[in-house]
Amino acid sequence: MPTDTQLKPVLSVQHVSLGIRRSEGHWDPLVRDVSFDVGAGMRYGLVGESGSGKSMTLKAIAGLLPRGVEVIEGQAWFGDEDLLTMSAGRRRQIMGPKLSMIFQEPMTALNPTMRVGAQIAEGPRRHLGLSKKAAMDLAVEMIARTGIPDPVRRARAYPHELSGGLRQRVMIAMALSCQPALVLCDEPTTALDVTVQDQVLRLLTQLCEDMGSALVFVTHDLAVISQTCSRLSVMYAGQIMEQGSVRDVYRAPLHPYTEALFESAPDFDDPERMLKPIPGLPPSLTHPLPGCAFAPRCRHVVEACTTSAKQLAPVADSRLTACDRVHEIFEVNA
Amino acid sequence: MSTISGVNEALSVEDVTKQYGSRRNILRALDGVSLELQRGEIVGLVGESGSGKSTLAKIIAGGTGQTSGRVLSDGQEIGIRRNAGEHRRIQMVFQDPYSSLNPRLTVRSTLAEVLRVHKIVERDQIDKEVSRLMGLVGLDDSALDAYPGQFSGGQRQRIAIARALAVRPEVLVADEPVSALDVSVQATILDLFRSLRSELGLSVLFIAHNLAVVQHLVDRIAVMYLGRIVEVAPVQALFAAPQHPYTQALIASVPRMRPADLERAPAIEGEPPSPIHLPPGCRFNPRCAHAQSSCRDTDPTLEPAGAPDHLAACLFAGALQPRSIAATKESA
Repeated sequence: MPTDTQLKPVLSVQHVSLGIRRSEGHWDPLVRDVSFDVGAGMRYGLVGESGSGKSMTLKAIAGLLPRGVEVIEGQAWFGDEDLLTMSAGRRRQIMGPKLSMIFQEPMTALNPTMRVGAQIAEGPRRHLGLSKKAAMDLAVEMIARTGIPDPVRRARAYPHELSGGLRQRVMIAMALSCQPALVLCDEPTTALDVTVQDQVLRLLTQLCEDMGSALVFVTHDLAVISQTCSRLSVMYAGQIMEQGSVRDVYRAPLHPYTEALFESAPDFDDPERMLKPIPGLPPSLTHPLPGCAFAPRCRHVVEACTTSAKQLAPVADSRLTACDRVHEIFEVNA
Repeated sequence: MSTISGVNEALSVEDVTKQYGSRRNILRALDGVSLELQRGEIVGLVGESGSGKSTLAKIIAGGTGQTSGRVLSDGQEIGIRRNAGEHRRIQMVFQDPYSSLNPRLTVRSTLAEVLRVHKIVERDQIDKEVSRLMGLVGLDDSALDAYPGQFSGGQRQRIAIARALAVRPEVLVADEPVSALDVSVQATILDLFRSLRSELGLSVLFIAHNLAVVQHLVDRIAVMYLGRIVEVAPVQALFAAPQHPYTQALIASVPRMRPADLERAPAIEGEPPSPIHLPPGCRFNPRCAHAQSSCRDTDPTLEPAGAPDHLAACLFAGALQPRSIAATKESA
């Protein structure tokens, strides 16, 4: 099984912190010290609840941070370039052919005044230097590869003429039209019905596999991650709590937050298990706690958890956790 | 047709249809739906978008009128124009607790207003009743003078439920009440519905698209497809032995916690056809893996399949094996 250490990663996020600047030298932190590597062709999941910082991390990588949110420190290495300090001009050169993004709501991400075929063809024309005709042929081929019937006719449709599932397929065709090395997805199937979600997830993983593209997949849905990704980071209150392969983490979590999250989530194949809600609320982002962010809601909490800050540290083979007490709480198979 | 409804039925809908549009282009949002809800029963309503779940909820709650058919509460027909007493019996909880509460009213005013308008208790008893309601939904009295904006999503949904309970309804219609909430708080709201059922004997129609959530809460499930109920059964029976191919496909599409075999073909192809131009025969036949020529001629009705309380609208109900199971056997 390839791990991210064996291959040079496509994307290497190093100690990224994001925040809202309040005064000179003072930020309200939104994301703190986030690091993860995405290997070539790997599908990487970022999972967390609302406010965990998963989408903000992805937006920073894509250069789409909302006004007011700034990068406090850290780098996101894409090859030997840092995506966080890249110029707007350079970013325009690589967005499409090297790096692309799929959004949650295709209706607002697609241009309502352009036929979808022309929108897909735009990238290949500009970045691959194809002629108008060749780019259009490629667009039709991409539409066909996403499983949309009658691709020639569909290429002439406007986004509003398509259903939600077809629009998301068009987004996928657009994102993959130039065979990028990395695709960023922000909750791409959350707005879709379960049957269409199933179709779109299969299509997305299949096309990424065919084209050798790596994927960063942001979602709140643990089951969707397990169907698509091989590695993941679990985020809570702006920090990564646990990192590892999907198989290992789902089999035996090594952080109390991950453990509690799994206990609260319904598992379709285990209907007899009682769902245990996580008591309390996430901490306020503007007044971060001195100790572990999960301490007030953690059932294993001791005094030491509330005093010193926790850092993500390796515990076992390619597994990391931000819990100091991991060896006391969980059985760790090194 | 007058039937004597059993006293145990808190709510029933009989052959309800809802049509929109002109004579030439008729959209059938609901096409002959019948369903009953026993006292203290939680029934789940699932289906894709456009299947008519929310239209049915609106008709039951009195938000819109049906084109034909009857809605009965406690065995009595309630019409499109309802009086305060009829409205009181059926209350609704909405999906988004961020937009369903008035941001300018404190929790106390939100609840007290309902109690005053419906004259549920004497004026001097309102404060006491308000704190009783807060206790029912598991909120503290200290929260009464706060505004909705000061609460989390889960707490807001509790306030919305308290408001619905204020008029002492018999039936709660909940339209996707946990879909907008984080996983870690979804379970608390599901627990709340369960305790309301056991403490107040409330009947709940629980609309959801997430089958894993429904499975944890409800007693019976009705599956809707293009304006019809295609299968209805007790929850264990429906998940253990789904009879309608659409239900089978829906179950096979649920994302699982265990890494799955991605090579498997999708359980179902395509998307629902337009509800304006319904396919002839069974409305699921264009997407059905088992469709025969008879499926294109005959429109199947809900019939018992296997057990008397397990109904399915499929000509071949009972004879079909879910495709996912068949596929696993082949590859084994």
